[in-house]
Amino acid sequence: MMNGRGEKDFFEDEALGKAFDARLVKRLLKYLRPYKWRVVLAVFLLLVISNSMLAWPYVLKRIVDILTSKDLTAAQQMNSVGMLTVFFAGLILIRFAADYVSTITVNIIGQNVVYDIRTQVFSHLQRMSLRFFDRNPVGRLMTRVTNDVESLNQFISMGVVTTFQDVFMLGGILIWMFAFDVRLTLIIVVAVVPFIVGLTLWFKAKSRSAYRAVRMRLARINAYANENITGMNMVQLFNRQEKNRDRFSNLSRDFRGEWFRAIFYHAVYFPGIEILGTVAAGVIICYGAAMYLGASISTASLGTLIAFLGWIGMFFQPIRDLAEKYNVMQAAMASSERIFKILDRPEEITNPAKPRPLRGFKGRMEFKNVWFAYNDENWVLKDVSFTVEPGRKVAFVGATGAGKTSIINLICRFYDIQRGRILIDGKDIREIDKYELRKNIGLVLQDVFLFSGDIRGNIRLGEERITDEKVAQAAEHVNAARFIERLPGGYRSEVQERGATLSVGERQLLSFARALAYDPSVLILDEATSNIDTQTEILIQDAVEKLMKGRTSIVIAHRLSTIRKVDNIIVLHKGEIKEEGTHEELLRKGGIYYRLYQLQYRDINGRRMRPVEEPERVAIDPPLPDTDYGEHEWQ
Amino acid sequence: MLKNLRTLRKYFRRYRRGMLAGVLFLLFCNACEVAIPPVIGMAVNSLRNLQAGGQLQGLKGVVDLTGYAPLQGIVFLVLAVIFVQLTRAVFSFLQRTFIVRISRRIECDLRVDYFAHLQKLPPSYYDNVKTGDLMARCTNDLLAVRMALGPCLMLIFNTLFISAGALIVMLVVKPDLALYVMIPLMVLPALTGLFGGPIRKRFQKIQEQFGDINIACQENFSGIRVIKAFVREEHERKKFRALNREYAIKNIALAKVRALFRPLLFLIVGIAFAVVYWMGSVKVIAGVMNIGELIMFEMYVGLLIFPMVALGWVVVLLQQADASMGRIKSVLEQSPTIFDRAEAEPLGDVAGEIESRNLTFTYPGCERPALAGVNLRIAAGSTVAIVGPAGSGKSTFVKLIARLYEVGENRLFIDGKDVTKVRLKDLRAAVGFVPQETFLFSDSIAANIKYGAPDADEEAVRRAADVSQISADVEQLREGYAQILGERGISLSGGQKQRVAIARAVILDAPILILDDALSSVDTHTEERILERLRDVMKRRTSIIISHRLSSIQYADNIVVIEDGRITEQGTHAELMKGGGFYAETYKRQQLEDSLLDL
Repeated sequence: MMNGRGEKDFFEDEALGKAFDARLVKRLLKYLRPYKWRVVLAVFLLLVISNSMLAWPYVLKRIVDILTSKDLTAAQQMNSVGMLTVFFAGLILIRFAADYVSTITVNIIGQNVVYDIRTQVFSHLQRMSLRFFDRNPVGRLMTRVTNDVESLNQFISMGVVTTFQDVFMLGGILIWMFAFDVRLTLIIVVAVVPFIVGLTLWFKAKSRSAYRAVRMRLARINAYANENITGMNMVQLFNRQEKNRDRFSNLSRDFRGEWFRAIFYHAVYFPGIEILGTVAAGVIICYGAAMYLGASISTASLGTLIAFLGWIGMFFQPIRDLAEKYNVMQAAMASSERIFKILDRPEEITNPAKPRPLRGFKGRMEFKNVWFAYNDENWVLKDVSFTVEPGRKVAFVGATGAGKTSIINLICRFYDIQRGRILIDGKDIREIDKYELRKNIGLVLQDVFLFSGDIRGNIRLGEERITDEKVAQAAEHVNAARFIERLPGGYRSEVQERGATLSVGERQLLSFARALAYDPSVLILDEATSNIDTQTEILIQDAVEKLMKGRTSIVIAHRLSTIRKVDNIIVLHKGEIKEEGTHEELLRKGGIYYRLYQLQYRDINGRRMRPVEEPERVAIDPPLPDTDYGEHEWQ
Repeated sequence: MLKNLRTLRKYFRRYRRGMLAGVLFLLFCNACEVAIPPVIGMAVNSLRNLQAGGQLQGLKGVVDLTGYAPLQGIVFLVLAVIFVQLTRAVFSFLQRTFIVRISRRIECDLRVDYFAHLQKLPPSYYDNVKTGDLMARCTNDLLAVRMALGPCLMLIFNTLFISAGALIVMLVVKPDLALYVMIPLMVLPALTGLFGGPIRKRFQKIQEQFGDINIACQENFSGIRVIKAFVREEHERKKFRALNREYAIKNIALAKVRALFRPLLFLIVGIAFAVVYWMGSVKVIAGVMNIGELIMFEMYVGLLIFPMVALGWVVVLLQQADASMGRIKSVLEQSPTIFDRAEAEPLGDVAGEIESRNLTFTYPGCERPALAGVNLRIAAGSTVAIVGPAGSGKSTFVKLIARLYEVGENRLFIDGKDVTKVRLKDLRAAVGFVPQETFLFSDSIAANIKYGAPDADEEAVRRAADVSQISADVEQLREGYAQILGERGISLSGGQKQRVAIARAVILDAPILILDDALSSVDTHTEERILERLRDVMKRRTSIIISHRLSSIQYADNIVVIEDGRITEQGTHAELMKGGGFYAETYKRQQLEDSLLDL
């Protein structure tokens, strides 16, 4: 059947490496431990299956022996053949049952192991710091959790379990054959088996390299096609159609050529195996003839000779399977290596073993000579000191890249600082429970990230203690209720395609409701800059005021209305605090704030530059959420 | 039925002879396969006779072996079997090579045709489809179609020839046994067909669940900041575990069907063998059949298993292929909307005068026009700057000049010629276009620069790179202009990419140059240098520059402000500054911004 995963994998780089790494295998096998009885059952059933297969030629032998017997009467012959047929029927029924149960068992084992590993990887990733997520593209992490884990399933079901089956088969064939005629077995083992093994190994090596080439060529074709489709404007503007078509045609022909190579190996191998089978049959027949013509080499019956024909026929599949294992193992080793690398990665932002209690959280925040960089020594914050007293409201202002977002990141302890200290209620931020800390903070980000699911789920974020009532109250309080209730499904409306159906302003209100539902003691608000229609703008301004009321608040302000309401304004410029004071004080000063104010807060003639956006058209792909956070852009 | 696959007839016709030869080879190959069991049967009979001290035994009415010396006869039979097998091997090799190769050839032809057709479709088509969908058609769908061309075709004939051959021999030898044996064998294709549906459905469910897991991961990793801020890690874990559990359950559901399917096939095959063993033995005991014939029947059953199973499989594959071909066809049947009319004339030498007359344009599927009644004359050889808020229609205007979207007749003229009536190729060759979103190909820098002028020499490439101020950057690279860009090479910064894109347009030496906000990621200083060099190069050529940074376009001969699809201001820098409209406001604002940066 068609393998759905096949084509997708072609896009990925060929992972080449060892097919066996004892350290990795040992670690992988540990995941089998919880299911060891199932494994034992599966192995036992495989033993049953292979023996029921191997008994088949034996039945035929007995039938032939009975039919050719001179000593038995017709009635006796009928009787014996009848018994054998019944025995045979029993054999195929047992095989049927064993095959059925073992297939299910092996799958259950494989799926459970995959479930365990995947859950573990995902769970571990939840502990990783934001720095880790900054450095690892989402796509790469997704591959770890999905495809890499999937290839371990192959390792379990094909690598471990069927290896037993193949070994049982090969061993079994030899044992049965030896039991009936040692000499004939030896002749066959010497005359035919080496060729089978040799031919198979040749085929596997050749076809493996051919398939690798095929995959590489296909990846090239697909990459080229993909690039041409996305860059079709360029192709057409620069009149490149013919040239690119020729190139594509060449790529396709190369790909076809590699397939021809693969086809050649197939076309040689399979007929070759048949010839070897026939040679073996010829050997058996000649052996029999010589024997019956008086050579005292054996006393094998005609039935035995025929059974040998059957056993020889069973030789090929397991040998081919075993040769196949190489690929599976290689992929599994590469995947497990990548997975273990993630699992072995320690948590960067560690929680203290004995956190100092945050009971009676007040929300006093103090930065003392803080130096911070996202990487190396590209300082984003330089010697920043400030204090936010409980209940006070502070606004941070500054141009893009001044370091405002970093301050937020540090207060939430998404990152650890390089120099200086951050104190929360007088305690070093590294000495308190980070989860406890974050629970006390309500964070509203500039780009509102919505999860798939309904509105209610996006406000509650899975917190069961937040009742439907509380969700509604929160929404009501921040003026979100009105638009939510207008939606066809109300609070149950699905937030489609990353919130494509909600306007920027509505998403903003939704995120206010989200923060409020958690009733934090500290509010951190990164105001959105985007243009919002006047009506919603009024709602937002009102909501911001309500949110800040009675809460220690840190705001990255973009609205004049917000700035007017804070107790203190801190002006950041290129990572340093340049000015501090109230709105009026700073305006009077005529410094950076004055200019920022003119630029950002005072609309020139009521007109504002709109942020760069695509011309209005039908939304095709929902925009992916931005994973770079402000600061990275300008470094 | 299979209506879509009939489209492939024209491809088949190209390889008719090869296909015919392939099928003929397959026939010979199958004939050999069918011939082997009787020969083995004879050998068994002869052995039986030797064992009993009797004579060799041929096949009644076919081969008479009575004249042979015993050993000689056996050797003759063994050699005969090996000879037949060798012949079969040769034909098997040939038929595979012919049929499968042709299927690959057709696949290749179809892929190239698909690609060539995509090149004819205009941007408006691409605005409304996802790249992934177009890609899926030339990957997964093409794969399914290829399966129908190669393996399916081979299997159909294989089944036909083998079952016909085996059945005939069996019917000749023992008609009643032949019929009894065929009963269980006939169940096999039905069984495969029966299980094909559920297996595919369950498999699809697994794929969907896998997709859900993918999406969940993506969402989680992209929204990790929110998750951490609200301490939702535990909840996310729970959610993921549920998804993951569901995935395991769906996999096991598939395993359950498969676990039944394969053993069931074996069971039925086993029944066919049991029929041979029991009924054959009865006949042997009754003396109406010999051991050799029994063995022959046994071998035929073995020979028939695969073709019978394959028959059911073929039906499933053909249905899939037909659906896939339908999807491919839906793209191939898209008619290109922008193409040379029959009366399209060459553009000839271009002076570079551009004129729009009451130009109105609405993007397909949109209600509001992007441009409404734009009248603009751009004198040949002049430099025009277009400014205005984002989304006001600036880009649309220049895209229409290159006829990326279709305008009506008598709306847009180059040198007085209607753009819709000149040869598309000439029109595009006359325009050096630097788009807003830089798109470079994963090829060398040199290849990217000479994308529209493949015959350009190194010197020309360097000159273009010089003008666009990218040459110094390139010379710092170890590989220089041979450096590969993109996934398998290095990635350039946004500004560097834009400069390469400018070089790509400059090298064309076209009479019209369009910079569609093409300097947004370049710093002010470099931008000014580029524009300065361009002024040099573009003497006596027409340039249209869309920019958000007004300081760099002050010198333009004419500055046009477009707001909401209409021209609202027009004039030189000095004139517009006096006007106090959008231009003057924005200019002042940007000066303020600059002063802040200098702090």
